[in-house]
Amino acid sequence: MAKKQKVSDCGVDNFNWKPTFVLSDDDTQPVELVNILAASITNRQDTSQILKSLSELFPLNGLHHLKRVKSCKGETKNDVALQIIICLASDQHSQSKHVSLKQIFGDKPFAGKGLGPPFLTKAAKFPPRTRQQFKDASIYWPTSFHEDKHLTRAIAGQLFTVSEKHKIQCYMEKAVAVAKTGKERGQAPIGAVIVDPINEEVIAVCHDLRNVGRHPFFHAAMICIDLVAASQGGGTYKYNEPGFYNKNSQYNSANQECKESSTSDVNSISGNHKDPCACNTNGEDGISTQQVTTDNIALLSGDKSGPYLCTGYDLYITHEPCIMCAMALVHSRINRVFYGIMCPNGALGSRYKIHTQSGLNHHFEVFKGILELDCNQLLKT
Amino acid sequence: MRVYLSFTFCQQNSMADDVSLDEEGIRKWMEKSLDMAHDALFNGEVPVGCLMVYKDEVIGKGRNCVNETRNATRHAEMVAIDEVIGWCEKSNQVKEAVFSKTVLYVTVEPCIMCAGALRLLHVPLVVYGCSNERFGGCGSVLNVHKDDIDNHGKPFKCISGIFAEEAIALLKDFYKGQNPNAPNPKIKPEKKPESLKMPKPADISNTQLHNTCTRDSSHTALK
Repeated sequence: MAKKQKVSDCGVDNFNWKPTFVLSDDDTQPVELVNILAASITNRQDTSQILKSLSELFPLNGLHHLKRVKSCKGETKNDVALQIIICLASDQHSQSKHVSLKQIFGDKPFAGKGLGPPFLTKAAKFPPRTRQQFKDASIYWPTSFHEDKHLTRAIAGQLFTVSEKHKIQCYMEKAVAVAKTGKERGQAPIGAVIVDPINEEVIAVCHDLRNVGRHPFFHAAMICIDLVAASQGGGTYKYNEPGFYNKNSQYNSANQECKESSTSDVNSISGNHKDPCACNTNGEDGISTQQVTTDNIALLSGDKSGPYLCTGYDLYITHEPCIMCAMALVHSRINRVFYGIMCPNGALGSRYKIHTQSGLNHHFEVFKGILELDCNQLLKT
Repeated sequence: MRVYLSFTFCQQNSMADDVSLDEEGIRKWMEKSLDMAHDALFNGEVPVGCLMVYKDEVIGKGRNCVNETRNATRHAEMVAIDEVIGWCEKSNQVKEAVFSKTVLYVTVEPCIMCAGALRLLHVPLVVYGCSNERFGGCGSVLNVHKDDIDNHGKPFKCISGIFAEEAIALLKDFYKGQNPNAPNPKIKPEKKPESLKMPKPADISNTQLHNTCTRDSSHTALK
C-alpha cells in the first residue's frame, strides 16, 4: 500500500517545506565517552574462558551496551586479532602512562592469563539512540544498537507520505490564514489549529490575542486549548473574533471544507491530489460560542466515553510555543505539534524541549519547518 | 492548625525589593490559600489554592478548576491571575505595574506552565507550601523561575516549605478518591496515591529544603 502510494505520488512532492523532527537532547548530543582498560587476547581459544572470568571479576555495570570483545585487524592482512574490555578505568588508571596486569588484578586468582599488555582506550558511556550516535560510538568500541525504526524515519524526514504532507500543509495553511486575520486586527501574527487526525476533523481555530489589552496569556496555543475545552462543554473565556472556531460552534463550514478536501485526498490514492489548499478559507465570520449542547450535558454529567482534553489531537501553530504554552500542551495531553518557525524563547526545541523533558508524564512528537516561508512572511509588514 | 515557620529562602536576600512581607503575613496568607485548596477538594478538583497579594490586599484568589472547565490549564494560579487582571481593569490600574509588585501565595510549587506564566507577568516573589515533583517549575523538574529566558523578564524568588504538610495532606485526601473525570482506562489501580502527584514525604523534609537552599545560593554566588 505504502509502495503503491509512493509510485502514484511521484512528481507531486514539490513542497517548499519539509518537516523537521525536533529531537530530544539525548538524541542529538555527541557520544559521551568513558575510559576503559582493554587488552588483546593472545590466544583465540581462550576467549570464552577469559570472557567468563572477566565478567565475574569486573562486570560492566551500566555499560551493558558495550560489546566486551572487539575484533580488529591483526598484523597480517587476513589475520584477525581480538581485544577485550578488562574493566572501567579508574582515575588513577587514566592518569598513569602504563598500567600493568598486576596493577589491575592484584592477587586475584585470575591474573590476566592469556591477555596482552593492557592499554587505555575509550568507549561510549550510553547506549546509542540514533544511527548517527551508533556510527560515532562504534569508532571507539563496538556497541549494540536497538534501532528505533520510527525515530530513524523521523530523522530522515521519511515519516509522512505525500498525501499526509498535503494534509499537514492544509492545516498549517489554515493556521497561517487565521494568523493573517489576527495581524490585520493588530494582534501578533500567530495562528493555531487543533485537529483530530483520526476523524480528520478540525476541532479549534484561533489566532493570538495577547496584544490590544485583553489578556497577556491569550497566546494562540492557550486559546486553542480553551476552544477545545469549549467544544467539550467546558471552556473559560468567550471569544467573538472573526476566524475563531470550535467544533461545537454553530458556524462550521470551515471544518466541512477541510474534511471533504482531506477525505478526497485519502480516497483517491491514485493521484487525484487536487490542491487541498482550497481548504484554507476558514470562514471569516466563524464565531466561537460557549453554548452547552445536549452532547455537552452528557459530558458534564460524567459521560467518560467522549474526548478527554486534547488526547489524540494535533496542534498546528505558525510559531514555536513558549514555555507556558508548551507545558499547557503537556497538561492537555496533546498528540503531536507541527509548527512553522522557531522562536528564541520557544520551549519545543529552542530554549527548552518540553516535549521530551524527562520527569514529565506526557511526551509528544514535534515537527518544525511546516510552511516555514509562509510563517516567516507573517512577520514582515 | 499547626504553624510552620521553619521555611527556607530559595535565594539569599529573598525579601524582594519591590514587596514587603513578614512572617505573620506569610502565615496569614498561606492559611487562606489552604482554604482555597480545601474548596478545590470540596469541588472534586486537585486541591491547590492560591492568593495574589498587592500592598497587603488580596487582589486575586484561585483554586484548581480543571475538571469543571475541561481545560487542563486552569490551575489555581491562572485563575487568580485572571482575577487580578479583572481587579486592575476595575480599579483602573496598570496590570504590568501591579503584577511586578504582587506576591503569589500558593499551597504547592507552581508547575512549569504557571512558572512561565508568572515570568511573563514579572511577578517578583512566590511563597509556596510543598514541592511538586511531577510538574514543578521552580526547582523540581525545571528551573523556570530563575533560568534566562528571552522576553521573560527577571527571575522570581521563592520561599518554600510553609504549611507543606497541610498541602500534602490535602493532596493525599484527593488522590485517595482518584480523579473522577479522568477516563477509566487511564487509572492504574496498582499506583499508590502518593505516586500520582504527591511529593514524597522526604521531599519536604528540612534536609531537602536546606539542600535546595544551598543549591540556589551557590547559583547566586556563581553569578
